[in-house]
Amino acid sequence: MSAAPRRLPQALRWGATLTTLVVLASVFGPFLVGYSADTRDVDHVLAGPSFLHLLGTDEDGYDTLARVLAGGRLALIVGLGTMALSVGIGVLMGGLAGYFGGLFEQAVIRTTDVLMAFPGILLALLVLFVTADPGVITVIGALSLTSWAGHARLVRGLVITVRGRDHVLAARCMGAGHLRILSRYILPEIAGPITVQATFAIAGAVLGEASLSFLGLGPQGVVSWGGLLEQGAILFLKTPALVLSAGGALLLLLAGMNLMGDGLRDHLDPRLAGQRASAEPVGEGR
Amino acid sequence: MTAPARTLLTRLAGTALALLGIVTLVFMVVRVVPGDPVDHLLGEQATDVDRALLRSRMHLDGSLPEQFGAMLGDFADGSLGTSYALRGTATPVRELVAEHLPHTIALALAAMLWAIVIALPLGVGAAVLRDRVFDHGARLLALLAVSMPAFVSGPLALYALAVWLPWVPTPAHEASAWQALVLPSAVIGFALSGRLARLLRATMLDQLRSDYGLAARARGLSEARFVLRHALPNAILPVLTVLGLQLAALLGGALVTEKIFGRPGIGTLLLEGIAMRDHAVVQGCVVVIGLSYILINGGVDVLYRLVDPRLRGSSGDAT
Repeated sequence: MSAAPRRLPQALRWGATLTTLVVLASVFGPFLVGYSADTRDVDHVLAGPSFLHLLGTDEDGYDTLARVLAGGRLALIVGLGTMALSVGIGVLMGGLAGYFGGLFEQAVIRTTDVLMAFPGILLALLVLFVTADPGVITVIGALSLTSWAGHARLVRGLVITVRGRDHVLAARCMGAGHLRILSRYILPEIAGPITVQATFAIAGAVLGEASLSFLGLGPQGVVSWGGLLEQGAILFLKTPALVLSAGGALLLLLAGMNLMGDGLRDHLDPRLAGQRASAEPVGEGR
Repeated sequence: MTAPARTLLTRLAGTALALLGIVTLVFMVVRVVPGDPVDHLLGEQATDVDRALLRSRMHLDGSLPEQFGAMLGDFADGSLGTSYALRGTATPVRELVAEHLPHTIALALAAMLWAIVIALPLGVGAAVLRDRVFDHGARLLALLAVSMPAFVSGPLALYALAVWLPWVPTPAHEASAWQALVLPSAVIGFALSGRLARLLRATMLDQLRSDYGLAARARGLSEARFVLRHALPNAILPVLTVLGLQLAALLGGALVTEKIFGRPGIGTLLLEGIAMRDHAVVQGCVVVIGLSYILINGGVDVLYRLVDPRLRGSSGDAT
């Protein structure tokens, strides 16, 4: 049952396909739709799907397809931005904490303790509550504020397991500096699990942004899937296309990212994948 | 001092520290709010005397350390501060929380029940019937559940059921009636069940291919008996932990579902507090949510030790 050693897991391929689909549609789609997300067609308000408006329009005459695609761009920007920021901070803090230990490590642990003792979205909500007119950057910052903690803890643990390995000691004996050891000898060793975590981080940020926007606290002045879903939930009986398309797009992206994360984990951690694939022969009645 | 007592003390100290951290964080965040809450409440025409009075009532006239002290005092005496905006009259936040929290707790518990009912057969079935049709179906369903936030499944469920299955109780009932709980909790429960089913499938697979399992079946134990009596109890432990953590997250994270179904829970209270710029309510809600989150997380930890004898006595500080 074990496949060729380097064949990509099925989950990874499916996940990548779904994700690519949403990414391509969000990036290039807006050029193909005849409307921008801000043009109103006041002659066709709450219209059903037609050749004029493929997914119909909302109560203000905005084209649903154009809005959903614009929401996709926002989701990707926030997802990637939050991932970059939170994983960046997490790798830096966790890496230094795990490598040097001592007081700094204690400080990082205590800080992450407090941050993780908190439902993530709640703090983001508070931050956005105090910012008068939150933009995309603010939302990315608010979402990263708690999510870096989990990454830092993961990285710290990984660094601790790697820092005593022979090749790291050898590098140190050769006179390599701390920075060089961290970046050239430790980071590559732990890049796998970080990549997996980063994939889930994107999915988490996309979901976070959509939730905040649904609650009316997302980035202001831009189209978001969460906002469309809030609007669509009220208009569901009049134009179900809004919830179905925005919700469907969100579902596709999240499912794609989740599958990709699962697949990457299997692919990058051969021990786990091996367990799953090769422990087959035992009974199980077949 | 015995080892368990020391573990407990360390945890308590950690809890107190985390709680103080939360309170400080909330204090800082809420103080940065632009706009004067007094102006917001009294409007432009209020006299200076009234302003000064309300300002001192709201502990806004002191220095920041004094304000922090006043807030700690409010938490210490249990009143959680006084809300001026939400009811039009001065109301202790404790009363507001006491009014709203039971709705959230009921929702969270009902959601957990749904999650277990859905995840148990899916996870166990998928593991036992590995790589068969049921397994593929169950995994697809679990993926769907994980990737479908409540604000997608909520409206869909609401309208689909209202249109096609009108006998299903809808949230149109009084919020305190059990009927009003069915749909909202099912929506959350479905979302939770995805992660649980995936985890249960993985832990069940470990048990099914364990050496002791092979030995048990070699001695003639029936497959069904092995699965139900031996594999499941072992496989379910980590699942219960995750379930507990999810309950903790639910108390604060049911905001979205409470909004969709118009349930008067603590999430709704928090959102109202945010909309009305009511510092005391926002502070109180966040601290109560944070506290319950910490307590439940700690409780799960303790329970886990009780249930799993292997962990007893170990200090288990796996940070």
